[in-house]
Amino acid sequence: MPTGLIYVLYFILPYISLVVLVVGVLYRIGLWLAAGKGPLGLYLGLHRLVVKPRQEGYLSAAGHILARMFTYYTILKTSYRRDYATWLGVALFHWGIFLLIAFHLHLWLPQLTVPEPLMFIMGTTVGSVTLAAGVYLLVRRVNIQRVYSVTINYLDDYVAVSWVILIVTLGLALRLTAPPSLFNEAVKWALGLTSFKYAPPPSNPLFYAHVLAVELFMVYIPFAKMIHPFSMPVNPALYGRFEDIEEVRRRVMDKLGW
Amino acid sequence: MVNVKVRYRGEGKDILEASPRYSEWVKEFSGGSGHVKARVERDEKTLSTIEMGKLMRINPNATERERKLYFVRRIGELARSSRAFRNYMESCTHCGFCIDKCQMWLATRDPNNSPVGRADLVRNIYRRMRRLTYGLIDKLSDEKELESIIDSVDLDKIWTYYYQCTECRRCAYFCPFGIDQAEVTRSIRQIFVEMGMMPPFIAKTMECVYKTGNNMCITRDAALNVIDFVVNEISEQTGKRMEGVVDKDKADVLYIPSSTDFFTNIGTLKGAIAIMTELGLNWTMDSQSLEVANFGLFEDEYHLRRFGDNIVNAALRRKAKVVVFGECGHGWRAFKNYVVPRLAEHGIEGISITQLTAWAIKKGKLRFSKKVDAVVTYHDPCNLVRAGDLVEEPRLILKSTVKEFREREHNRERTLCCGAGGGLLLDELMPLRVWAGWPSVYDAYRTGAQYMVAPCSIDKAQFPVVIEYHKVPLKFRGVSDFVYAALYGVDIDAV
Repeated sequence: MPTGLIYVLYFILPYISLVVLVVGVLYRIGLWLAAGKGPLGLYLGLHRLVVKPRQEGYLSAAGHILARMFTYYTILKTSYRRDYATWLGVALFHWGIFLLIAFHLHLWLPQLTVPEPLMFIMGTTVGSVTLAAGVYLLVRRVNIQRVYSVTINYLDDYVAVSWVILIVTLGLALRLTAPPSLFNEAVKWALGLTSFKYAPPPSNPLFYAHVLAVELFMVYIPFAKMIHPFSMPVNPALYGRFEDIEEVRRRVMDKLGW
Repeated sequence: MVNVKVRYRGEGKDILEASPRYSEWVKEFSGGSGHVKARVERDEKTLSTIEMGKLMRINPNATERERKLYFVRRIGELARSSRAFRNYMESCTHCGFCIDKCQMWLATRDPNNSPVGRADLVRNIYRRMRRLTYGLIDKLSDEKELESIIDSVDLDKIWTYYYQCTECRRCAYFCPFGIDQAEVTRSIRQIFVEMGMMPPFIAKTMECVYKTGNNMCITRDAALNVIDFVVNEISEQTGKRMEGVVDKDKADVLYIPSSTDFFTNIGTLKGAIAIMTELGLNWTMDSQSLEVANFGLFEDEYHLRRFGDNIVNAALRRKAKVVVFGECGHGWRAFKNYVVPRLAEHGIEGISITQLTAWAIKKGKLRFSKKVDAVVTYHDPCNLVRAGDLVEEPRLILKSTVKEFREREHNRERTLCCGAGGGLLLDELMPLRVWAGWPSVYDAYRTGAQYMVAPCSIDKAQFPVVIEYHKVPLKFRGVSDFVYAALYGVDIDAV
């Protein structure tokens, strides 16, 4: 690949990707917040849209939101059956991605000594599980339309999960075929980014493809449905609280002279 | 028909096939439910009474094209003015998890009748309005571009399916993102009201509220007659002389009944009068506010607030310290989330009669002479449990008043709607209603209970019809009915 192109794709584009990701996500969240509740500061006449009973404090609301974001527990709630398969696919896919991102932070923390065999096993195991879960979710997405005789998927719905599958596949292939020296070269490149000093990336086609796929995905995230992780904290059905019913009971008892 | 069977563990049949009238379902819904449509009110007098002229934002003689353009433009306005609407339009990942959680889909198996299918009828318009790709560039289409979208807008289809949503919020509970299709439905119906469209049953019911303060057009004299009859019957059944107090100048407690308690749900009215009397409360009803229901919740914000303010004004008239709200589901949602904060501005508390009764039981203030010899199961009204923070109190009451209480499989936040909520208690929707209520009735039937109980007026109107249609050996009663029966050892069927 020409040196100029490498410089643009692997030294300039990372910064652009990061800015678009952060600014784009903040902008989308800002648009939701700016939309406001509704006329007269009510949700079409209602003070709150909280769906969960006994949500009496902002802390419990935050806990509920975090539980939805990281445990996906509503998928396990029974409605004629428990959808264990979907929950497992969703949990493994998302947690796989979280772990893979965490593992990649090692590029910026090379002082953290992790034996190469351990890195290899952890990376390839989590990567494989994430890939399998991603493929399962893609197949499920296609199958749902057949099972329920419904057309609900937009192009974007296929693109998002397929893109992540592509990134994970490229990453796994890289991990399985990369020479031992690649990690140190990658560390130099990564540290170069954070110190704004260009260090060439490892000269490896799979590395180029994997990183480019990630960069372009970061640009894509603020658009369309990839914004979904950030929607829950600003969903009025999830945040908000009811009155403390024990407090209400005490006041009523007091007023009735009980 | 669909490839997927929805069935209980251990049962081979789909829940629809479990009904003895399944062959009629096949005839009715094999091709979907798009043929079951709510009508539109045309009576000028009714529309005038309920102030539709004030709410309409479009020329009554607008062409179809103008109506579509207005609809599309309002979708864009909602994106700016409603955080909930915008969030739900943009955060759906089309996982399809909500499809078999919606009992309207369970009842009809029509994909447009699933939360995601229903939302996409509007989302397909919304997406085309965003420049570039769906959301980041926040510039809605200009007039010319809107014109190019409107040819694809099918207002009739949107009206049809948005009057097949009961606003029960089961979708919001199960959706991983908490997308609340009920709120999208309320937003779209708000637009329809602005276009002068409302089903006749809802419009005429609202007209009654304007005229008499309640849904059933009960005048003060008629209410007093019914109360007179009720206290006489209480006296015959219990030997106790009670009083159904109306329009007392000053009382600690203002009780708001359902107007249907003066007709078909007399047992609930008896229960309420008995509870107030046994607790020795200084209480009253208000003849201009004999209504817990609030059909504004189904239609538009203006009516929701207007009917909610009826209760606030009644509380101020009666100088009440506490407003006790009778048995109603959707009304409780409007009460809890609009009226109670308004009452709080005047230092007045607002609670449910089930809360009052449960707290009284815990304090030992209500003593039951004989538990009702019956096996009951409790149906959680959706608006109590998924919008009203009211879950355990009715259970405590039933466990205190009946010999055997059994939980249904789909209880609490997983409750199945009656199928007639959200303004769907319309005669023209009856083919849909009798199947929409079936999942919940079947859920109750499977417990082996004799009675299905819920503190909700629409449930009391809907479930007996569904039970009768499917020939299920179940009876349906309110919670306060059992309180009355247990207080005085009266046969529940005689209440």
